[in-house]
Amino acid sequence: MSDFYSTRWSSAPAARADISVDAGLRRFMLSVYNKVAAGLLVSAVLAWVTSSVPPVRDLMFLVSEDGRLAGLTPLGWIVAWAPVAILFVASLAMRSPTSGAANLLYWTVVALIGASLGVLGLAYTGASIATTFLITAAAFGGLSLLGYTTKKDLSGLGSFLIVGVLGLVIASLVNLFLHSAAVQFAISVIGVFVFAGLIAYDTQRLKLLYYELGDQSARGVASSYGALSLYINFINLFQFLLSLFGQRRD
Amino acid sequence: MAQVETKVRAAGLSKEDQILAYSAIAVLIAAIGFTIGAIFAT
Repeated sequence: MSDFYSTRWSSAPAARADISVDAGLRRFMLSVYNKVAAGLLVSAVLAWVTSSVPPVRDLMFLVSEDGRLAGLTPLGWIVAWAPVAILFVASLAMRSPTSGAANLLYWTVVALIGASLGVLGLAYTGASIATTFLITAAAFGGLSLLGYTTKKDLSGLGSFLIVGVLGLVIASLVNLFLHSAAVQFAISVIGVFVFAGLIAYDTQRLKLLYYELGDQSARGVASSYGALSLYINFINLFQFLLSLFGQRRD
Repeated sequence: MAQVETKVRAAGLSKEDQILAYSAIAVLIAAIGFTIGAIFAT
């Protein structure tokens, strides 16, 4: 009887702690997913505006008489490459960012990528963009759930996937000179697998990061950085799937 | 010769494909930069 009481009283706080950690983790992951979803919504609206509102479209893109995408204006190039510059500067300048700074970084990058995604609206039909977006969202949900629930340690995949992305960048740059449709197809297929892996890997990394970070402020920063990482993975997966299955405007 | 050139062009990337490739590369580089940055930060 005394054992029952001692066990009961000694294990109760531990059980309560587990439940509170799980509820905290759930809240943390939910805040990340909400941020990704809001970011995608903002991106979709901005992409629609930059591809469909002629005065804005003409600021960023060169469109031929028959409505085809012919190039990017200087502003279009700046908007397309600004996220790379901002992320580079942020990684050097913000060693220990505040939650507000991380949030600002997230929304700035989301707005710039969203605006530059208008290029897809000019090249692909609206129906194929919508279909591919839904397929990407379903795949993202499944892969993220896999990363969240799997007991398998995915950390070993990290370096392999990063090398994969590096390979994709190099292959894409080389193909700008080769102009090979076959290489472009191979890049898109490999890209789908690499970013599918990155979605699961980043989700597990975020989950583990939650347990490592003690204070609320650090978790606020991790939530913005985690959302940005998942958002970028989503956009890349979407672009590769669209390149494979999207239907071009005639 | 002209026929061969036309065939090669048809199998290659159009101007539109190249613009899309440039845009995709920007997001790819953002992904690699951010993933490496996040790993070093943690």
